[in-house]
Amino acid sequence: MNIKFDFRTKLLVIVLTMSLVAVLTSDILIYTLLGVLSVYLIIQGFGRQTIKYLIVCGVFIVLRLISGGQGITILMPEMFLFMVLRILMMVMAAQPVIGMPPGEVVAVFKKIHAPDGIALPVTFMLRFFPTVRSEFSDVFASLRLRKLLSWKHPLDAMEYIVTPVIFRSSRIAEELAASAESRGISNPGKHTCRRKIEFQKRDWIMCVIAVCVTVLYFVLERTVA
Amino acid sequence: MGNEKSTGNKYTVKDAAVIGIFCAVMFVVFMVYSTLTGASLFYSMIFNAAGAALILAPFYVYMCMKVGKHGPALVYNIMWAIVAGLMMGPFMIPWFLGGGIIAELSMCGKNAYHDIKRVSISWVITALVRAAHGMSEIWFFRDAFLATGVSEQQVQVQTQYYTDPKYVILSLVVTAILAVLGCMISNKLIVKHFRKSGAIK
Repeated sequence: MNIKFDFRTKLLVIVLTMSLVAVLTSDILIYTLLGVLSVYLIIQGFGRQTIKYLIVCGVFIVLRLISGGQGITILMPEMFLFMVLRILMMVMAAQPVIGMPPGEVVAVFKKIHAPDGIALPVTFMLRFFPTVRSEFSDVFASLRLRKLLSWKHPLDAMEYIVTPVIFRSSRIAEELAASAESRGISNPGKHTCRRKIEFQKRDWIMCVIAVCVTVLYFVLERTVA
Repeated sequence: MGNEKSTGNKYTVKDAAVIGIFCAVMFVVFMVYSTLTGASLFYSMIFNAAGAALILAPFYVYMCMKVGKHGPALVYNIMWAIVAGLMMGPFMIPWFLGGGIIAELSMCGKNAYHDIKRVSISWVITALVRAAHGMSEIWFFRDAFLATGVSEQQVQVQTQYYTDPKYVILSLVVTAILAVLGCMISNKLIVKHFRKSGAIK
């Protein structure tokens, strides 16, 4: 299954999840919300990522159950388990936005008249997020090969890691900016997009479902609490 | 690598790209660092922001100097406000937004973004806002914080540390010191590598 939703629908789901994550106190409601988010991801074709998220969440749920709300020794306090679960839920809700093609993000921002000062950095940030890990792993691999990584000289190690990462990131920023410029990102005229950006029937259905689920969770939370 | 100094006050696409990409790098580094150190409750409460201020300083200083015009401090904090709102609850958004406005105001004047002292001041403000966000949850947003379903144990520990002047001062002072130290190290890196290569003028 691979249903594509509009950016605004994905944004609504993020905001609703944020409000639920901020309000839900009952463990059982939090765990069922994880199930709902999994379905939301799977219908958009994020099956593999969903399995990864569920495995990590499963580990933390088991740890919470074992600890009985007291945390696992000093190394894993309750706060850590609590925060990680909630952050994972937010990451799951944000996954469809993180995976969006930059062209679509730009088109959506133009459509909703978002200020360029925020819209452009967010676009570049979303474009770069998936590759940050590989940027760092390349640098670490290179440093390991030269045997330059050492805990004995932390400041030197910091310099060896930070400098190439900054150089590479800066170069990528210039390349991405040049690429965006060549496609007319700063053209003051009307922008068109190859992708169809419209709020379709499926978006309406998804929004109604999301709002209904949120209301249901609020009601259940009040009942349980 | 472009070696031109940014001219004019208008944001270019390149400036937006630099801010966006360096914000992404800083978020990822912070997330990894917080996950690694999050296992220790005491460290998370008192020294998390201090360590982040040291580790992230080179990226922030480079981002500010590369852009060289007003905006990076505010945009960086707005991004943080969005992330904090998503991760910790919407009540945190005004806290980081306010911090961003103060950090940007500290950069008033011409060429502030090329002056390491001014950049350091804005970084110290940003770091202190991050260090104090946990305290603000207890001091100003207690009801909203309790409504997030946070455990009793966490509220007790947070209240214990963040209402004790000794721990509050320790956390804020260490954060400020490490933020300044981070900026000093960053300045050395800028002079040693990035000015020499022409990446920054």
